[in-house]
Amino acid sequence: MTDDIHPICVERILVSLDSSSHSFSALKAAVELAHHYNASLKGVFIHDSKLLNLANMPFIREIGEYTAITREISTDGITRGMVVQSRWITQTFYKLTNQTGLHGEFEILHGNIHKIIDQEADNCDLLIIGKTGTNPLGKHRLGSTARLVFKEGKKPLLLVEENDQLGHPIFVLFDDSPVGWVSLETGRDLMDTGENLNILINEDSAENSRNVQKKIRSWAIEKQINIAFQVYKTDSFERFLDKIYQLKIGLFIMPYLIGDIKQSLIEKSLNKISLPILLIQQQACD
Amino acid sequence: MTAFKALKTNELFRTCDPDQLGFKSTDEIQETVSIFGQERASEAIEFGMYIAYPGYNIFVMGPTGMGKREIVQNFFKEKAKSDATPSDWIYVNDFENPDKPDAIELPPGLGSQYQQDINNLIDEMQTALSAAFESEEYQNRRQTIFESFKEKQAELFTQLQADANKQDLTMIKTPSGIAFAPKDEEGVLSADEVNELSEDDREKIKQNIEGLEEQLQEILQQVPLWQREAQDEIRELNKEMANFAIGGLINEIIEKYNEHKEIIEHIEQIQDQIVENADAFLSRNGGEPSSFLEAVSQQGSGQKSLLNQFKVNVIIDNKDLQGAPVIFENNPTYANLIGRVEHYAQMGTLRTDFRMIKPGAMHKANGGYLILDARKLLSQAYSWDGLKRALQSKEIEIESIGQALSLISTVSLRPEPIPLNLKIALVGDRLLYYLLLQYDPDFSELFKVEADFETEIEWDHKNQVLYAKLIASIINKESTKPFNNMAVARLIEQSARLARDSERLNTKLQDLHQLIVESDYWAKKNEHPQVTYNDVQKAIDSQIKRADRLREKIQESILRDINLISTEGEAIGQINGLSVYTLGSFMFGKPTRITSKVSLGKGQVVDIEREVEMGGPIHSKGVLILEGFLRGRYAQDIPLSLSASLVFEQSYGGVDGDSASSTELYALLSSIADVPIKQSIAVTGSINQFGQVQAIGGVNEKIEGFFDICAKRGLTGDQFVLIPKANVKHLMLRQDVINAVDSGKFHIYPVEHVDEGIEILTGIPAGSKDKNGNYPEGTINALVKDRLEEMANRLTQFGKGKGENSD
Repeated sequence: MTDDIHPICVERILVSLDSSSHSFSALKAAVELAHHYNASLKGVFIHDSKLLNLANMPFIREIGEYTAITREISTDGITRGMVVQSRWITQTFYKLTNQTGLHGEFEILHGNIHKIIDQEADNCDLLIIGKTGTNPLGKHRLGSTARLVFKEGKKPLLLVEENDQLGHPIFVLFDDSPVGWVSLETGRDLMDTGENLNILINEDSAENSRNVQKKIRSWAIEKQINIAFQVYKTDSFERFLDKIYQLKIGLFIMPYLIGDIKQSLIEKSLNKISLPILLIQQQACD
Repeated sequence: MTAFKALKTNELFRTCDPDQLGFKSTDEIQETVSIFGQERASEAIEFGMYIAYPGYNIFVMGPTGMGKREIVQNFFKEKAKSDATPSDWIYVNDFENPDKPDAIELPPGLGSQYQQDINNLIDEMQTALSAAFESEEYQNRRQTIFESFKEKQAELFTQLQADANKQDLTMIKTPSGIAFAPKDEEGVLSADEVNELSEDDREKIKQNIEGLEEQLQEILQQVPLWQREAQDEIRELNKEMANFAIGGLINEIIEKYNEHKEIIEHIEQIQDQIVENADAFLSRNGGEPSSFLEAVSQQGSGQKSLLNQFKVNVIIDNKDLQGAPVIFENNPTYANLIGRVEHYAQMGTLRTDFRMIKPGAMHKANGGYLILDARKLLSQAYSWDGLKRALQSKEIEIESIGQALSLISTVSLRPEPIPLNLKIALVGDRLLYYLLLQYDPDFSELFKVEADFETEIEWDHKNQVLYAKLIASIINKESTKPFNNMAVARLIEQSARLARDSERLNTKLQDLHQLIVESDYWAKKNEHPQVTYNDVQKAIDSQIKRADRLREKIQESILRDINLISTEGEAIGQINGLSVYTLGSFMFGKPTRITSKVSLGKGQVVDIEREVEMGGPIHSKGVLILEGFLRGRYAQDIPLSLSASLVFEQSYGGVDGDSASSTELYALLSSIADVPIKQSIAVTGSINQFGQVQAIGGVNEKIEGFFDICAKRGLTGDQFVLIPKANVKHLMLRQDVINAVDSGKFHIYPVEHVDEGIEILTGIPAGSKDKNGNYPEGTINALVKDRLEEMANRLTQFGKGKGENSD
């Protein structure tokens, strides 16, 4: 039944970094997955052209995040700030990759962050970014860059929050669609021998639910793995999210689903779950 | 002429009878003797040990090699057995003043126990605190506080962003702050787009931005307050968790040490510190950095350094000590005595804390006894001052020399001083004692007890037996071959020789020890099962042979007539004196020619040695006494009208001592009387103004010095030595001298008065004064008196002639 479905194939990983603690966790996750998949790792730091643009506007000033003091913005000041950031990030990238014996490549780029990530994503099999960046709005909400990349949905995307750590348990939000099965296979691929794969089924119809469970059981028997699954109706899905929202170690895999209800589930998951979230797009099935 | 009696062989050497020792071999002696004949010193040490008043420390004095240190150590050890074991001392961190660690006194054994308890507490505490801080309860509550803080912040920022959106503005994070920029549906406007806007629009945007900036500033100013509130809440939570986690462990220790107030205070301080610094025990993701900045700066967890502050530094652990400590510090440097604060290098700087406090000998001996070598102590910079300061203040304060002298002002530790209560024995020679007494006003206050060791003891039967036991004890201690009784007897005889007295025994144990070890060497070399008389004799001879190069050279010089000494014939105003050379522990005698010349003069005896400043004060004194004798005996009726000169011929190294004063008098009498002296005789002895011959030192060596020259030239039977009668008891002569005397080839005459001596030397009676004050004609005294009268008359005539001429 599932012979023609495979987990995502990862040979090249791209991690986009900024100076946030989310980004640092993303780098650690990228290093770990590069080892798992034996993939190459490329790190990028993008000097945001939007910031340089600010300096040319006559009335734009910045306010110190900690001091609350208003300062004039200059091109030099912004550039120097970005150079300092990029130096830290470069050092940290090479330190972490070298420590684990990984040969990583790092590049500092200039331009619109989203556009450059979009371009660079064409050359990778997995994109990893911090769940939010240096946005002052809040720490757990999906950042603007992450949201844009997520909406683009070109490549499998791993979103990592500060202090997150890849590991176990692995949860897969299952949908009986090709991309749902790829997600399931990816979860199986990443799990350890003897471990349970936790499968969440969002199904409002009892009959459909039984059918899906049956399929999954057959799949698990065929693949000789242990599974544990839980069926949730759409309106009770948040109760599940409440239970796992404090977990910081593990992995939550979900397919990038189309449709209003499904979109709403994804939004809820993105906003509620602290675990690293791996989003798998339709293109992964191609 | 009076018939003088030469000494018999039994008067020349005191033999020790091996049969009187009471054993055949030292194997048979079980009893251990380490000291005897030192009643004065023993009583002083005991007095000093038992008197419990300040300043009653002991200065043990005597020449080196007496075994003073070992003896006082044995006294102390014996007393220490019955003394109470002193307290343990620990240093702990003073959390309020970390540069002033606290000293805590504990009953013996409790110091290390408390240290172990604290180490266990630290181990268990880490587990308990980790468990508490990793618990779901803690994590949930902590997360809730964080979330609450973040939500408050996010809420305001979201509102601000919404306000900005309404005004077509967006909030942007710059590398070092937050800015607002105009936007449209496609995103942030470029600078060109903004510049293309009308003046009014730009002004409006500017005002809107300023409004938002004000709002943002208000929000940002609130953030630290909320952050502080959140931190306070977390701190309270940490306290609650920490108290719960370690309260039981702490209470266990408090209960165990509830009788020790300072320990309770310390443990309560630890508890406070743990609660205050609970953050340090939170999991740090396995020590990995959690941000870019942390990763680059490599700042680690403070948990280890915090835990180190809780540790206990046991500087004195008397757990295994029975009684009081007895410490001998062989290298009494300032730091070895007072203690030190060591440092460790960290990131190129030197750091220290209370754990680096190291005890000195005074800490180790506190509550007991400390023995120090006075010379070593005084030769170490500031050790003496440090010792005195501690004794005067009655406490040990650890500070470096630099601190003590205010030479350095860098911040270092000043550990709390520890009360001092110990008894000190300084071991040194007498000179040091008297110098300290003379020049250091504090010394007599701090060392009130002098224990003066005798260098010799009486050789009686009781002491002889004890001495034999002492020898056996040394033999046993050094595990040498056993000595037979003849060998022991020879050791005792040699001891008397070293004491330079046939009625005394030498108490310098170093000499005895050395001879025993060397005798053992020769016995082993000769494969003797026991050390024999011959082995001991061989050891003595070898010691002399190793040291007598100079003696041999001097004797060679005499035998080759480079150094002129006659051992036959007669000469006027020329006599053989005897002098002694001391080279370290080796002494030897040598004959010296002394000559005298007289002429008319004003009654002066010129000591040429003194004139050229080669004669010491004692020698000069001897010559002046001699002059006094001349005046007293011969110049009662007439003026002493001679000028005499005396000299030690071929002496280039200076002369001191008055042992040649009788010899010089004989030479002078010979010159005045114009009577020759027999050159086969050598003379020693000092005189007083009455002409009595007095005892001198080194009599054995002097006799042997002359004997050696005579023996090498050939003994004639006419050669002999005149010695003071008072020196007869000091004779412990070599066997070859005794043999020569025994066979009549050499003689030793004791004399009591110069009249006896001059009679022997000249063969002419000295003559006694009759009732008219005249000496019998032909006697030496008559000849001298006549010559002096003649000289006086000639001088008178000479003066008259001069006077007449002048008139």
